[in-house]
Amino acid sequence: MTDISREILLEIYKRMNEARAFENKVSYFFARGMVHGTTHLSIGQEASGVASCMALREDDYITSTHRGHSQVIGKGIDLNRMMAELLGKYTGYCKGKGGSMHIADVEAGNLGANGVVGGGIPIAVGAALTQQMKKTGRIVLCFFGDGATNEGSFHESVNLASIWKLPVIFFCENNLYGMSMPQSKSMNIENIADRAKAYGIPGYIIDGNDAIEVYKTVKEVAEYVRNGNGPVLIESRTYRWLGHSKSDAQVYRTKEEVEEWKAKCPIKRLRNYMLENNFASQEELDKIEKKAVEDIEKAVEFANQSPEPPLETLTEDVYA
Amino acid sequence: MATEVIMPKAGMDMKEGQIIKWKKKEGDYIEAGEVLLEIMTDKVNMEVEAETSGYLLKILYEEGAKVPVITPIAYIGERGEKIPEIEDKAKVTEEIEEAVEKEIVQEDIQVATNVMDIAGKVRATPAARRIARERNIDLTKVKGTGPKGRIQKADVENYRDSIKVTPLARRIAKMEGLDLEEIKGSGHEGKILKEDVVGALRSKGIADYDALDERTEVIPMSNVRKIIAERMTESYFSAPTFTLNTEVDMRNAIKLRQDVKDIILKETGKKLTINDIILLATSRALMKHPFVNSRLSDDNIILHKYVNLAFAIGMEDGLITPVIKDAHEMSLSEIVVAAKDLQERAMKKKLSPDELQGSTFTVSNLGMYGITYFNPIINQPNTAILGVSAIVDKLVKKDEEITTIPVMNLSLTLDHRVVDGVTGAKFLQDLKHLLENPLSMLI
Amino acid sequence: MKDMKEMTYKDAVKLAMCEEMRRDENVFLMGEDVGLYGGAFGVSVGMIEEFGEERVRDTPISEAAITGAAAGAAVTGMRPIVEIMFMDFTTIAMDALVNQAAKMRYMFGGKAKVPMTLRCPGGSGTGAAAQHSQSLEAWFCHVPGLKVVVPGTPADAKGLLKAAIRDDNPVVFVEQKTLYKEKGMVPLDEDFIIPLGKGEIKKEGSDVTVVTYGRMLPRVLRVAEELEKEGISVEVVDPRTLVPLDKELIINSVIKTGRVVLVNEACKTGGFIGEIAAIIAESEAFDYLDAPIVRLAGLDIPIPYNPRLEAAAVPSEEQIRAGIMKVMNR
Repeated sequence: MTDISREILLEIYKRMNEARAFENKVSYFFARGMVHGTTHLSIGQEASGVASCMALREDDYITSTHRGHSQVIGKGIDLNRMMAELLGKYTGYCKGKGGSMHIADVEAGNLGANGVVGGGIPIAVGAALTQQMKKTGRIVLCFFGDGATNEGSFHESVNLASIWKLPVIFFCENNLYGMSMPQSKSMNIENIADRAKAYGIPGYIIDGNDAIEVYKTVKEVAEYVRNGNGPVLIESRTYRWLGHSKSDAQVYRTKEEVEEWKAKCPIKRLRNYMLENNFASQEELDKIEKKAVEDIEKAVEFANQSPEPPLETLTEDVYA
Repeated sequence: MATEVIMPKAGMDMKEGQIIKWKKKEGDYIEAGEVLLEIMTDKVNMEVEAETSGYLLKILYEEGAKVPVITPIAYIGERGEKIPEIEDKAKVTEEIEEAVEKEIVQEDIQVATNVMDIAGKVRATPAARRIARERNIDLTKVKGTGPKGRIQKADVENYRDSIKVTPLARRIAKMEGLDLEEIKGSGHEGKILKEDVVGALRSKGIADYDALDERTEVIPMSNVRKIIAERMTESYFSAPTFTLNTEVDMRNAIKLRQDVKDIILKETGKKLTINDIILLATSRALMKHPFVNSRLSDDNIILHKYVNLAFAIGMEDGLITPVIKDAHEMSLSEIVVAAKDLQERAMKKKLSPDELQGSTFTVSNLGMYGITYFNPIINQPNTAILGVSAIVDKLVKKDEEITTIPVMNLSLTLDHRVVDGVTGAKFLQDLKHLLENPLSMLI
Repeated sequence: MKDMKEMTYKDAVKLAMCEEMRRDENVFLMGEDVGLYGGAFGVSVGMIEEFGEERVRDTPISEAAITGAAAGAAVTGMRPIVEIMFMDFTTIAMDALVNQAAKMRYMFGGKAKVPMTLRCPGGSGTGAAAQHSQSLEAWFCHVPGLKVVVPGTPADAKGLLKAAIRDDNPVVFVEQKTLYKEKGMVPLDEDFIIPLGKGEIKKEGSDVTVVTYGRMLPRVLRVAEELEKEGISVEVVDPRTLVPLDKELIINSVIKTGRVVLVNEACKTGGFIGEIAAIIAESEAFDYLDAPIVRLAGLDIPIPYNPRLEAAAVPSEEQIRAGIMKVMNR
C-alpha cells in the first residue's frame, strides 16, 4: 500500500476526472464545429499529465505540450478560464489569442503549452537556469512526447541541462506515436529513457497509466533534481485513445490495440485502487466524477457568457 | 449647344490679343453683328462682333487678359444652355498633348516597348506632379529636363508661363522683386490681379509700396509702347546710322498747296497739307534711288520697285506708322485721300494690322511742333527714314535786300550697312529739287 | 554627463554589457566560447574574470538550446544576453527565436515578457565565405515580437545595446564584424541609452538623402564628405534600429531633399531597404520625390571566398557615389 495521503489521491482523482470531462466536452464541441482550429486530446493519458504535476511543489514550473490539457489541469488551473480560452473568449487565459495549443499561466508556473514539437524543451532549460542562478529552490518539469526526442532541441537541451546540472525533469509522455509514426519506426531503441545515458543523467521508465507510480516517481526525482544533482529523464508510457488531432483517421493503428489500451484506463485504475484499499467509498468517488462533469458544464456556461475579445486587442501585446 | 467666341487671329503674326473691354456682360442678349468686345492686337484696337445671336452665357477671360488667338473667350447661347467649357478646353490641350506625346514617345521608344505603353502618360516625378497640382499647371505643357525627358520639380517651378497674371500685377511684382509663384491669384482661373500683388507686398511688410503708390504712378506699358520699345531698341542697336541734313526752299511748294488745295478739297473732301506734297515728292524721289528704298535681309539687299510709304503719327500712348501702299503710283489727291484716311482711323485706333505693315520707307514729320532739326531712328526693316522739320522763315540777302523765305530742314537717317553718304546725299538732292520745283512732279 | 573616450566598436559592446551586468544581477551572458576565450571576435575578453563563469557562461555548440534557454530564462525573470557566434548560425536557433521568444507575450495574452538580447555579428568582408558572412536582419524584421538593432558606430553600439538589454522584448542585436575595430568617441556615462526606434541624422544635407545602417554607414559618410566638396549636399540618415523603425526621421528627410538612395549590405531581394522604399512610397514623402528611389544592396548571391569577389558582392564606395550621382541626374 502506498504512503500517498488520501487527500492527494482524491485530488489526483478529481483532476483526472476534470481532464477527462473537459476533453470529452471539447471533443463534443469540435465534432459539432462549435469551435475552430484544431485540438489535441489526451484522453487515456490523464495519469501521466495530472499525477506528475501533482507531485510538484506549487511554485515549481512546467512547460506543457500541444497535448497538454491533462498537464495544465494537473498543475492546477481555473477550468472556467481554460474553457473560455478554448472557445476564444476574452476571459480566457490568453484573452482568446492562444487557444488550445498555447494555454499558459506564467504566474502560476505554467510556462505555456507549445505548438512546436520540442519547442518547449529549451525554454524549460532556461527556466531551470533562472532557478539555479537565483537559487529559488524551484524546479521545472518539462513535458514532451516520444516524437520530440528526435528533435535537435531535445538533445541540445538535455545536454545543456546536464552539463550545468539544471533543476529540470525531462518528462516524456511516450504514447507510442508521433502523429502516425510509431516509435518502433522513428528510433532504433526500445526505451527512450536510454537516451539519458548519452547525456550522463538518470533515466526512468514508468507506467504512465498508473497515477500512483507516476506520482511517486516524480516526487522522488523532484527532490533529487531540487538538490542540485542535475536533470533526470522520465519516460512515462501511456496511450492516447483518440487520434493525433481531430482530423486523424487513425489508419496507422488497429482497433484492437486501441481497445487494449482503453482497458487500461488510468482513471478506472486509480478508482479501483482506492476502493480496494479503502481510500474512498464508491459514493465518494461517484460524487467526484459527477462534480467534475458539472464543473465542466459550468465552465462552458462561463465561456459562453464571456465576451469576444475586442477587435482593438488585435495589435496589443506584440511588444512589452 | 452654346457657340464659342474666340480670340480672333487678326493679322498674320498675331499670337495673342488683349481683351480691352467687354461691351456686354454675362446674361445680356446680343444680336449677331453687334459689337461684343474690344480687343487690342499688336498695335491696334479691334472690335469683335458676335457671330451668332443669343445670350452671353459666360465670359472666360476678364478685361486686361491676354489670350492666345483661337482660344475660346466666351460663350453665346440660349438661357440655361450648358457651356461646353471642359470639352473645348480639352480639345485645345489635346493638341498640345499630342505634340508632347510624340516627343516623349520618340525619346523613350526603347523603354516604352520594354516596359509599358506610355501613350497618354506624362513622365514626371511625384514632386513635380504635386507642385503642378497645387499650381494648377498642366504637366503636358511642361518640358522635362530630367532623364528620359522626366519632368522634375524644378521644371514645374520654372514653368512661369503657367502663371496667369495681369500686366499691371506683373509689373508691380517685378518692380518689387516679388516671386509671382508665391502669390495666390484671386481672379478668373486664379489670375493674379494687382490687388493680390499689393496684398502680398503688405503681408511681407513692404510698407514702401503704399508710399510709392501715392507719389508715383505705375503705368503698365501698353502693347503699342512695348512694341515701339522693342523695335526701336532693335533698330538702334543693330544698324549703324548716320544722318544727312539739308534745307529746302519751300516757296514753290507752299504756292502749289495754295493753288490746288481748294480743287482737291472739292474733289475729295480732304484738306491738302504740305506733308502730302512732301509724301508725293518722297515717293517720286525714291523711285530714282532704290538703295534708299530698300531693306537688308541677311546678306542680301532687297531693292523695292515700289514705294510703300509709312508716315509716323504720334498719339497719346505711342507712335504708329500706317502705310500708304504703292504711293509711287498715286497722284497728289490720291495721296491726300490715303493719308487722311489712315490718319483719321489711326486716331480712332481702327487700323487693321495689315495697314501697319509692309513699309519700304518712312517719313516722320515733327514740323507742327516747331521742331527745326532732329535725328530720326530708322523704322526697320527700312534702310532710311526722313525727318521733316518745321517750315521757318529765313533771312536771305537777295538783290542786296534782306528778305525772308520759308525754308524747311530735311534730316535723312540711313543705315550705313546698306548705303553710303553719297547715295543718301544724291537722294536728298533730288528730293530737295522736287520740292523746290514741285511742278516737275507733274511731268 | 561624464567624459567621452575613444574606443573600438567591440569595446563599446563590451562596455555596455559590463555596465549592465554591474547594474542588474539578472543580466548575464551566454554563448559559445564567450568565457575564457573571450568570444570568437574577442568581444567578451576579460568579462569572465570580473563576473565569473556563472554570469559569463560558455555553452556547448547548441544554438537552439542556448536561444530557447534564453527565452525560458527571460520569461522567468532573467535578462540573458546570448551571443550567437555568427549571424548565419541563428538559422539553427530560429524556432526558439521566431516561434517561441517572439510570440510568447502575444499568444499568452500579454502575460509574459521575454527580455532577452541576442547578439550576433553579421556581414561579409572577413573572407569567411558563404556560411559566415550573411546579413539576415530582414528575416527578423519580418517577425512581429522581435526588435532588430544594427549599430554602425561605437557610440551607437554602446547606447543601443544598453537599451536592448533593458528592453522587455527579445532584441536581435546585429553587430558588424568589420566594424569591431573601428574607433569612435563613446560616452562613458552609465546612463547613456539610445532608445530603440530612434534614428539619427549622421550628416545633414539638402540635396539627397541616403538611408543606411551598419557596415555601410562609414562608407556612405566618406562618400558624402567627398561629394560635399563637389557641391552635392548629402544627408545621411541612420535608422540604427530597424524594428521599431524611426519612419518619421526618414520621411522628413526625404521630404526635405526629394531624392533618396537606400544602402545596405544584405542581398537586394527581400532586403530591409526594400521595406524602407515602400514606407517612403506610401508616405507623405511620395509627393516630394523628385527622382525614382535608388537601392544599393548586396548582390543576390552567397558571399564568395575570393577577396576580390567578396568585395564586389556588396556596395562599394564607388557604387554608392554612382548611385547618389544617378539620383541627382549627374
